[in-house]
Amino acid sequence: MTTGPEAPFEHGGPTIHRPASGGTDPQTPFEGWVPGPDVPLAEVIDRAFDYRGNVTVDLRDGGAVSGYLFNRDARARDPFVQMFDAAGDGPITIRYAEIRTIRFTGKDTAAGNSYAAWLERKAAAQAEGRPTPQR
Amino acid sequence: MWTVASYVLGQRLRGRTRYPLVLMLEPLFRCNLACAGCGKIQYPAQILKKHLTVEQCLAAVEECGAPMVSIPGGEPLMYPDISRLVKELVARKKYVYLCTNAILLKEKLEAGWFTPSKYLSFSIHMDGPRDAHDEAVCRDGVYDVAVAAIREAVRRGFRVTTNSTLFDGTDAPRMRDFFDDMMELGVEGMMVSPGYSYTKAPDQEHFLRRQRSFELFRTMLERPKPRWKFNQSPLFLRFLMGKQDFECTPWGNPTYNLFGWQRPCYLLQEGYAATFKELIDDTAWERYGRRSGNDKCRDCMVHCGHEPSAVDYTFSSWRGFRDTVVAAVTGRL
Repeated sequence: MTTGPEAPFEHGGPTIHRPASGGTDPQTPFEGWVPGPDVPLAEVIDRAFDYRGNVTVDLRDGGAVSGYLFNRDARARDPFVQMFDAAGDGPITIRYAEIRTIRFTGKDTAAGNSYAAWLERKAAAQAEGRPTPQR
Repeated sequence: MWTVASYVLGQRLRGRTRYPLVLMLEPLFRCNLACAGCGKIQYPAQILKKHLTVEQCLAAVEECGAPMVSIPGGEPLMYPDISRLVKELVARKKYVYLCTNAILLKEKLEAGWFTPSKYLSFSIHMDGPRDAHDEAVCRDGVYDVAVAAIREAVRRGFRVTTNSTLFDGTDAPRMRDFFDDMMELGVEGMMVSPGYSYTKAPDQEHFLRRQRSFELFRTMLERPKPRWKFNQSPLFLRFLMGKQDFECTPWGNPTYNLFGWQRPCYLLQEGYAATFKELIDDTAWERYGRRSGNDKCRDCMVHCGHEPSAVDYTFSSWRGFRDTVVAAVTGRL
């Protein structure tokens, strides 16, 4: 995938399902991404739904809501997203029609910290006689 | 067995084709481990700090109506109200499987949080022999802690089972020794399942594909020792060995957590329904399962989708019933 913080999504990219706690490559750097105006809102919402960090939903009335976006229903008669805000309060329901854009402002909790990296740290610790690092 | 049989037959007599067998109740996402194969705990801090109330949990249990409730997570022993939740579920005669890594189990047992009951089983996460388990959970020493907790739970008269998620690279002969070890500890039964390739899980390289799953489970389970007891449908085990085919029944183990009723299953996370009825009635079930062609379902053989299929087959056909009885009586898979 070529998408990232600096690049708008390519149209015709992978179908966005949300498999098993996510639908994107865990290494995809969405953290910090601010979608360009050419990215359709529905696509931005799907990416935000797929993102395992906090986002900021900018509203058409000038307001904004930051927090974790955990649900979206594009098939509903009046499509909506649902969030818990940064304090954990919610759920807050926001209609698609109220959303101007979504910024990926929080840390991606699914990125990094890989199994391979842990194995490397473990092997290095064992070679040096240090206690095994814990995840 | 009788409870499950009468429940399934009751559902079928009512003409319900999509019914739940086990509610997967996740009261929290917080965990004291960060296992390589787990995609359940990657959330921002404010989500990890939250948990369901006991009342929310009980309402979900009531709404769902499944006779069995599995409590995974997160780590359920980190849920502050786990003692009260279990008491309430046992009082409602629900069969509870408390799925734990057992790090806190001995401490909670000593603190008197739980009382032995035929309705309560501790399902201990054990992914294989000591080194394999500690590697799977990315922390040394956890196997030994879990073994000590199993001993303590068995000593106190609790029902204890083990739950092993297996990945590519699993050593089948060593797993057979592991089964011996678990039975030696006095566990009532064991559960095995191939892992699911959570996209958000840190380890993406070691998930089993379908053909490899067949090979592994055939090697591991061929000529099972009479002393081994599996707390699973023998037909599901045959499915894992490639001797029987089942399509997924994702509604069989519905999942309820902080976000609501998870669509479509315990593993895929494509949205949330506000009610159980909405989950059953409004989910596009035809988009899931291997025959649907959905890539995400192609290699999945996980028990949460396929064991309910095996159980339904057992109680919906004479052949299924006969095959189950024969496997149970002879011990042959």
